[in-house]
Formats: sequence, C-alpha cells, structure tokens
Amino acid sequence: MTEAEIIDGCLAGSRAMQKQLYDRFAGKMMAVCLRYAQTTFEAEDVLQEGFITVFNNLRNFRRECPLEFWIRRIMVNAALRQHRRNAPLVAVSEGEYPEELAGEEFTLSNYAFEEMLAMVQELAPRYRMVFNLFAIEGYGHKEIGELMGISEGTSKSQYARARAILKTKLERLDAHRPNGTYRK
Amino acid sequence: MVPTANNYTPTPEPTGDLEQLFRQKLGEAEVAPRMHLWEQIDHELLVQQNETFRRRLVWHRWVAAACILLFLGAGGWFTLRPTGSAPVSADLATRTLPATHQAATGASSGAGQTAGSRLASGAPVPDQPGGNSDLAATGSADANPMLATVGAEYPVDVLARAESAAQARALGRQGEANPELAASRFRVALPAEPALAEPIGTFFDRVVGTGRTASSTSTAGTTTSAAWYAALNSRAASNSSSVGLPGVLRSAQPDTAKASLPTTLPAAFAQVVPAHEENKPEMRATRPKRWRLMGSYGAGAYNPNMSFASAQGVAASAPNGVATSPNSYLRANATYEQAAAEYRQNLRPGFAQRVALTISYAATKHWTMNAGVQAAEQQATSQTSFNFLDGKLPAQEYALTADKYNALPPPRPTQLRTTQYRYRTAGIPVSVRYGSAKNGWSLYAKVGAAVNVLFNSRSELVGVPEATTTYSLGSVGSPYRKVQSSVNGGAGLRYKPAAAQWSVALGPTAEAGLTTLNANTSQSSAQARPYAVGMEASVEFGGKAASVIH
Repeated sequence: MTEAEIIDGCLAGSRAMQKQLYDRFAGKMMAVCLRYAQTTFEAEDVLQEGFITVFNNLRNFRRECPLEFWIRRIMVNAALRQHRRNAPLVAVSEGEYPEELAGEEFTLSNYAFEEMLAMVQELAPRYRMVFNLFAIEGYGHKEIGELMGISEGTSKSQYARARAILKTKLERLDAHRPNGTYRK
Repeated sequence: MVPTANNYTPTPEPTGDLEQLFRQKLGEAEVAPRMHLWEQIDHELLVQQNETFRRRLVWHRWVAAACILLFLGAGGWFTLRPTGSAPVSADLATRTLPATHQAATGASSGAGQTAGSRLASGAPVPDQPGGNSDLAATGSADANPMLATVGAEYPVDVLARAESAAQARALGRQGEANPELAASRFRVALPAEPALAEPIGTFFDRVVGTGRTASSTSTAGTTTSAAWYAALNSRAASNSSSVGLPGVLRSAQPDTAKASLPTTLPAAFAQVVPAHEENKPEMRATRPKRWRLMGSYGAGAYNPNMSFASAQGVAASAPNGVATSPNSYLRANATYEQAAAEYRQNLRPGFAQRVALTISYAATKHWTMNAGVQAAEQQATSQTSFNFLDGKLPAQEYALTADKYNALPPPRPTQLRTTQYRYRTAGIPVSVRYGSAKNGWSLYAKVGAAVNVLFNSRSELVGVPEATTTYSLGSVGSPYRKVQSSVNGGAGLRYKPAAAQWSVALGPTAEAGLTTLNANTSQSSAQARPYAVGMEASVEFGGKAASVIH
C-alpha cells in the first residue's frame, strides 16, 4: 500500500489505515523519541502524543516532502513540549564554547546502538536536546535557540559541553576494549 | 624456502567524527514500541473524537435554542405588536392640548356644574361643550393643571378607599403623573364593569385616536352602559361638592361611558379629530413595513459524503445468529471494510429539494434577517456487491466469511447492485441577507445556518425489495444522525417591480453540514460531512413602504 493511499485512508477516517500508518513509522519514531527522552516510558508518552498530533493534523500535510520527515518533525516538537513540561525554563548562562570542535575519529562499527543511546539519555535534558537537534537532526544553533527559547550562544555552549561529555564516555568505553580504535 | 611476505592488508574500517558516529547509529535506528501502545493511541483518538462531538452537540443545542427563541420571539412580536395608532394618538392628544384645556376649563367653571347635576339624575348628557369637554380632557389629563387641582380637592377619606394600585394603573396611563387623579378615577370605577379591564390606551385611542372609533362609539349606546353611567355619576355627586369633579370623574370613565354620548360631537372634540386626520399621512409615511413573508424553493445536488468504514462497525452491525468468533472476526472485519469502502467509492450525489417559509425583518436598508421553517428531501445513490445497506451487511455475507477462516476469500459476485438513499428533514433556518431595497433588478447575498431533524430515511437495494429499510424519528438503531446542523450561503439576482409589494429572487446556493450524517461517531471523520449545491428561487411579500394618503 502506498503512502498516498494510507494518507487518503486516514483522511477518510479509516481506523485501519491509521493503524497501517502507525505500524509503518512507529519503530523509527520510537527511536527518535528514545533519543530525546530519559526513559522508555517517557519516550512512549512522546510517541503517543506525537501520533495523535499526526492524526489530528494530517489534513495539513501538503505532501511536499516524504511523510516520514513530517512525522519526525512532529515527534521532535512533541519531545520539546515534553521537555518544556518536565524542565521549566531556567536561566542558563552562555558560558564559554570553542569556535571549532576537535575532529576526532571513531570507528563507526565499534559501538552498539544501545551503548550510544544510553550515553545520550544520560546527558542532562538541555544538553540532550541540543545535541540531538544539532548533531542528529541537523538544525542550526539559531533554530535550536528559537525552538528551545534560548540564545544561539547558549545553544553552542551547551552543545560543546554535551559533546565533551560524550567524547569522554566514548574514550572510556574504548579504554575498556582490547583494541581501542579511538584516534586523535 | 623463502617465506613470502604477507601482503594482506585488512580493509580499514570506516571511521568518522563524533557527530557522524551518533548520526549513523541513532539517526536511522528503529525500536519497536510496546505492543499495546497502539491500543492506547486508538483509545485516545476515540476519546478526542467523542469529546469533539460532545462539544459540537452542546454548540448545536445552543444554536437550536437560539433559533427557536428567535423564531418564537419574532413570531410573538409580529402577532402581538401594538397597532401604530396608539402612540400617535397620545402624541396628538398632547398637540391638541390647548383646545382641550380650554374645554376642560369651561367645564369646571360653569357649564360643568349643570352637566354634572344632570348626569347625577340620570338625564342624558346635553349637547353642549361643558358636558363633553370632560372627555376631551381625558386625553390631556397628564398636562392639565386644572385636573390636578380638582383631584387634589377630592376628600382624603375617599381617596384612601382606593384598593389596588394595579387596578388604578389599569385605569389609565393619563393619571400616572397625578396620583390623586388616578386614585379618584379608581374609586369612581369601583362599580366595576367588564369594560373597566380594557386598557385605557384603547379607550384613549377611541376617544382621540381615530375618527373611525370615535364615530362608532358615539352611536352605539347600550342599556348597560347607560345604567352604569348613571350609577357612577350619582356616586360621584354624593362624594364631592366640587364643581368640576363630576366632569373629571367622567373623564376617567372606561370606554363604555362613551356609548351614551350624543351622536353629534362637541366642538372641542371635533377640533381634535381633524387634527389627527391631518397627521395621518405623515405617520404612515415614516413607518415602512419591515416585516415580510418569504417562500422559497431550492433544488440541487446533495452528497451525504458519509463513510461507514470502521472496525467497530462489524460488531455493531453483525446480525443476530451470526457467530463472530475470534477467528472469524478478522475475516468479517475485512469483508465489512471492503463493503464500506465500496459504498464510499460508489457514493454519488442525488437530487435534493427544499421548501422554506420564512419571516424576514429588514433591520437596515441593506440587511435583512430571516427565520422560519423548512422541509427538505435529499437523495443519494451508491453501489454494492455485498448487499451492503445503511452500514450493515446482511447475515449471509457474514456467513460467507465467518466459517471459512482458513479458506481463500469467497469469490465476490460480479453484479453491482444500486442502493438508493432518501432523507427527509424538517428544520429551522436562520439567515442574514445583504442586498439593495430599490425597485428593479438588484443583487443579493446571504449566509445562514439551520438545524434540521431527520424525521424519515429510506434505503433501497434495487432488485431486492425485501431489503428496503425505513427509519423514522423514533426508530432505534438508525445509523443516521437525527439532529443535524448546517451552514449555507448564496447569492443571486432579485427583481422587484416598481410600486409592487412583492419581489422574486433567484440564485445559486451551497450548503455544508456541520455534523456528519453518521450517528456512530467512530465512523465519522472531519472529511465526511454532507454538502449540497443548487439553485434557489424565492418570492417575498411585503417590504414596500406604506403609501402616503393625502
């Protein structure tokens, strides 16, 4: 069944089509939600809220981009809303941030999904949000600032800290392996 | 043997920076959520849908109540509104004050005494200004200081016998500014006659309002009123020694007293009537007819735009005696969805017609408000190879699927049967119209809303007469919503001949349902609301300003 048929079915109010859409994207979106959430339960909450938003607003989807991108964006927004609910705005100083981040190299196949997901989930909520939005989703710091209600500088400094923490964790993980592959 | 060098160099594993590493590992990952998460989402969607319907229902009830209130209010006002002569008569009475004032003065100073004594003895009222000027004084009692003086002279003990303020009010608006006078009038009115209950406004109208009433009352004397009049005046004479009092008391008589008046109107009263007649043309010209009656007929295409597609529909519509075991449920579900999809796919608009009778009120020169009643009939057709009707599958269709869970789906009959649907509604429409009030051709546009009750629906499967289903307002199990609401709009041309009191209009209209036709909310969606487009012709009566009579 094509994506367009599923969308049309959902717009016609077919619950079966809504289930089809859910089945098609639930796995990917759950992975997205897990990155933004601290726990699996929290991720499922975000996923549920996100899908309800999807079904309620599907008529606004203009089909100019793949449906997956649109749903992913909705999930990210749902995660941000959840973040705002859980962590009310706290004044955070910009702090220092390096203009250029070090270009380390990691062997991509050395790390398992679960290990890396755990590293991201262990980050402080703000760091986790900024890191996800910048490193994985590809947002710029200015956009992140607007999304999170912080300044661009704050986003940069928080990203630098998040990155430093993750790098340390990767190094520690490498140190415990027989053939560490981390090179600097 | 020379050992050969080991030239094997392993392919370097791909590396990347920290961002690349996380993007690759986390960006494209998939994690299956819990099994029951969909049930939660499904439930949440259902709750939201129900909440939406509930809120919409509340809104529709308010709209319906407002429509009914508006309709009843407009109807009530239209029925009970006072005639246009009363306020004008009061106005005229004020304007003719000098003449009546002079007459009243004459009555209290001289001739009034004679007239009063004659009246007390039961003698007919003489044809002289003094006796009749009292009647003229009635119309100007508010502003007549003489009357106030006379009322003040009336004994306090007599005034204290006034029993009810309400009855005193009923006796006349003229006395409001003069409590003593009102009290004296009331006391005198104690030998109550049925005519006492008549509003004084009517009496006032008859005396100084229109020439029509004045002439009729002056010629229609009765024995009852004559006796009442005599009793009244004898009582008045015994209670007061004031010269002018009998005249004043008579001035407060109910309209039955006028019956014994002589046919020939006195000079003072005769001055009043012409003055009123002179003012008539001006009065009529400033009161255009704002209320109009309109009848309209509309015809067009109607699409119920409904869908029965829903998993819940199976359990709800499974006929009695058909086993829906867990194994057969999925098959039955699939069949139902297929039939519902086929219905939706083949759904075609049908003919719709509507008649409406509305009352319109011209609020301003361009804006007109309408409310009334309407009745409509809509039709639609679809096709089915499952004998699917009204969102229900017949028992044999279930039987085909229920017992063959592991078998291939049974071959579908290739014959498509036509299904015909007919809906009859009655409702209350309200609308606002904008257009020109001038004669000749003009444009108009209107928007409105309506609350309709589906009092009859009929579904036919062509070729299978026994499958015909009819639902009435009281039917249980109808798949259709019984109370529906809609918004509509239209525009067109209006023609009003010069100097005519009617106009005709013709133009396209469109109507969109605010509610779905489905009664089952789980089968409804935001996209499945009925709509209709067509043409509407209407004829309107009234609306021409009253012609000036010279």
